[in-house]
Amino acid sequence: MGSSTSIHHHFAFQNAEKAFKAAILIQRWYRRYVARLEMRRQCTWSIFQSIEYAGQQDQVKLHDFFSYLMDHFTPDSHHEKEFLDRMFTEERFPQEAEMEKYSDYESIEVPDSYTGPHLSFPLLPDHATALVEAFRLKQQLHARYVLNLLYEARKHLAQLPNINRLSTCYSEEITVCGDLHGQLDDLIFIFYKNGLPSPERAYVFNGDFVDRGKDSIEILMVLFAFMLVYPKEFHLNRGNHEDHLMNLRYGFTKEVMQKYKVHGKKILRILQDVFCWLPLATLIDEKVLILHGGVSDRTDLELLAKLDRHKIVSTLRYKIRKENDRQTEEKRKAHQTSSAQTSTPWFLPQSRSPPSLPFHLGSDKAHKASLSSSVPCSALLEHTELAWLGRRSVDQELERCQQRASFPGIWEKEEPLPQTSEAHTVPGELPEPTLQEWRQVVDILWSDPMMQEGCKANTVRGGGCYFGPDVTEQLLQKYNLQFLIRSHECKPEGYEFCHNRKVLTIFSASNYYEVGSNRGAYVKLGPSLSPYIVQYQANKATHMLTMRQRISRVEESALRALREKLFAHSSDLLDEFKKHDADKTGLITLTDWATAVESVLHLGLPWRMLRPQLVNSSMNNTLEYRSWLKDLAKEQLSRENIQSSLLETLYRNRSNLETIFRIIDSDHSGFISLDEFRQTWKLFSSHMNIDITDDCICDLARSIDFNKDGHIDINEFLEAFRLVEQSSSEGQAADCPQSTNANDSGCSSSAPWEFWKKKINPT
Amino acid sequence: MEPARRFCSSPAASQRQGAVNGKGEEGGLQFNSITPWGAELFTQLSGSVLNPQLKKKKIEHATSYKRGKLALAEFHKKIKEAFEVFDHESNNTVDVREIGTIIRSLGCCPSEGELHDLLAEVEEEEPTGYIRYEKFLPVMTKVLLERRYRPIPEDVLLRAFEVLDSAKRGFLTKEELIKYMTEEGEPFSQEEMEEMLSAAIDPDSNSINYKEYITMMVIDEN
Repeated sequence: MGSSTSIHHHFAFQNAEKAFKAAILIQRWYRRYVARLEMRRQCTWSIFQSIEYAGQQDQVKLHDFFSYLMDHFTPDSHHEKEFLDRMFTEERFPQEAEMEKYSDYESIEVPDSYTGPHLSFPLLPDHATALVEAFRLKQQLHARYVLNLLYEARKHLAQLPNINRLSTCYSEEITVCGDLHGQLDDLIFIFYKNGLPSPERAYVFNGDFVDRGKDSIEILMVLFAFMLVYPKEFHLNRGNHEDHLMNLRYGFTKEVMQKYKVHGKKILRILQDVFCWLPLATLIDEKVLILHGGVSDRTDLELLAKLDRHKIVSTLRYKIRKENDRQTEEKRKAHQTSSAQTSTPWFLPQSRSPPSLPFHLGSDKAHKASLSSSVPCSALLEHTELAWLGRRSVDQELERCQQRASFPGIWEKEEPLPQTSEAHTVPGELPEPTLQEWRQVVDILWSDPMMQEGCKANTVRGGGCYFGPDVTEQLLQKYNLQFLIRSHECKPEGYEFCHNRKVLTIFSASNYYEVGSNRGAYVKLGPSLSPYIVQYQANKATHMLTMRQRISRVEESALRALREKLFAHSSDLLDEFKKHDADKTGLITLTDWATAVESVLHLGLPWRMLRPQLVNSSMNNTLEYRSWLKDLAKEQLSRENIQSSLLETLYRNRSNLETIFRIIDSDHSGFISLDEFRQTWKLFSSHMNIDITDDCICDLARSIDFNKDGHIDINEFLEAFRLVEQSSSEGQAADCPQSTNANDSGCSSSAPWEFWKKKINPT
Repeated sequence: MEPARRFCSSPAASQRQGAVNGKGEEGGLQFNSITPWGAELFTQLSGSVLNPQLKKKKIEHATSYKRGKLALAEFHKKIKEAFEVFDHESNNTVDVREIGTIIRSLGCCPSEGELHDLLAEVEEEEPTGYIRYEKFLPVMTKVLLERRYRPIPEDVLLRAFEVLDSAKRGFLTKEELIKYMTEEGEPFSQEEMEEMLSAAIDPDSNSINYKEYITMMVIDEN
């Protein structure tokens, strides 16, 4: 605001009127000030949410990629089959006999030096309370007790129905909490403010207990302990993060392995089973339905009530095991006879070129050719553009491919369901869930409400649906319900009503994106079933800040995250900017800047709004883009002392690569053994028709094992990836990064990485 | 300018309105409180529309016309983007309660009364609780073109506080501020009042040094 215009303003009012008019002026000014803050807050929110959901899409695609490979892989030995089982599902459903094995926790010694809490079963209220107190003091529960508690929890959960029914007659009020995401402070705060669970104080926790936060295992322990102490008053619903595949990416797997170095694997294994036993929904007084995500136009509570929930191992992947055994023959036939009509899935090269391979390991020449064509020249750009311009086109492509290849995915809906799998049930084994059953569960764990009528695929998250008010209304009428409580989405106020107050979102992880980003909330229901909402911020520091300070703080961290994203795409951005700079002036308009940035990042953000915070100089409405990119790099470099081009690659791929690493590291040892590496390669090569000998694979593994200790750790894994990325972007097709074995064995180590890089991390 | 009659509720606004009407060209150049894109647009418009004698050559005219069009397009993008921030369902509608935030974040500073009038213009005949983008865009474009509801300059704001500080002490007590803001003008809600107090009141003296306050808030905004 300037001050030079004051000459035109003077105040010549009557006294009484003066105050009135002065007040109105101040109020007008202040309301505009607040509105601009609100706009900034909204933009901040968009940044966090876009980045979060983009990550989820990556996760879904990654698993589709591996699923596809596995579905088309023919294991030729018992050993390989076992590996595959382990890779995604760890184990078949543990039968009772197998579960007995899990009870060997008794043989685990608790050393005298252990100062943490002790548990004995049956659990008493004091045990559970002591557990909360111990965790508050940052103590750790011994693995023996963790396993013991999980064992008991599983036993209890297994007897529960899919849909729990509660009544407000027994407890005066029932408290419903949403996502906790490993934020123990929030759980403790809820207990502190609302009271510990007791026969008078019933609780329902509506899923997403784990991932993201740092105390996921502690939260599970507390929740399971109270569930065992108060089986009638304490209830849990499954969320989309109670899923071992989600845990690979979002931190829970890592947390468990770090906290329990010796018994972590065992804990994870039993947890996978415990998660499948979590009930899917809770119904209060037959009137209020509580589930994690939402509903869809095909949600059928009767079906949900009677399906075998334990069969739904993961909502990320439908049908994983056994198919290989049973359908191998059919598939082989299908491949031979109808290879023409089976289309390539989205993550494979959309071969407009002749159906030759993108690279061939056996031939050095072919390899060179392929590498040089994958250098970021126009050819690659074209490919990138064709396949990846906009998420929508990706999903359409994907949908098309899935339909043609009858590759079950979570995008499809409506078309007749192929009821194939259950017919193949092998006697003595648990049957697979039908696709229909699996979808029912995906929908209730992943869906979000929308304002428009109808029901459509949730492309933003990559799973579940968006459901409109009409879908809600139909469901409520059909089952004679009053309203729906769901969680799954972070809300600034911790809760939000929509669909004419028929849907209540409740989210209990406060400060989810950043300190001050959002409040948490829980809701209490008495016999009248009218929701009473309580909001809170578990972090005391935020109470002292003004709204402006709070927003600025959160905004800063959102912008930091965004700049990190921008930096991670520096090269793509530069290419895009150049397109807008036909005259090579080094300058582009800010409109072009906004267009270019969105076309590279696909985050759907209000770039013009954010511009003042992201672009410092707005001289004549133009931007000197090279120096802008340089500044971005400077900011990242000052924090990590590495060369910027390498850093860019790492930033862009880190979370996908870490997830891949954990998938390959199927025994969760923290290392990829030669065996694991070989099995993974078999998987790739069989589908890609790559001739690769065991010797080649060994060489490959050895070359990645930089410190020659016999296995590949996460740093070596990232390093290998980075080297390939680097060499290819420099356009040195002939120079393989690991020169030690590049050519002598007739196969190159870089091709597979090149392949991974392109297929797995398309954007 | 037909819509000018709506301005009567705010003396400062009607004065500025006078300035715009009377000295259009001058206003277009001197407005440094207007956002840069708005100023640019206005300069172009006043160049080509209000100042016909500037059209010396056809080419020049064509260029400036083209630039004006470009600027208008950029203008629309700006409005669209602000709208989209609150269009949570991506279906070109926003909650009617957000409209004030959108208009104000676009650099306008209407009173509640003026906002109410604007709302009436963009609402459906039978209000649905939502505002459609197609309705909003032309009204908002016009508001910006006509440069209605200009932001309040720092010194004018200071004068307003001085009016309330009749004893000329340089500060208002917390009680005085609450009284004026919740009883005069277009009263603040309790929430608005608390939020303003949290940043404005110095806890030691329990009063607001409004000069410092304004300086702080203005810096903060840029």
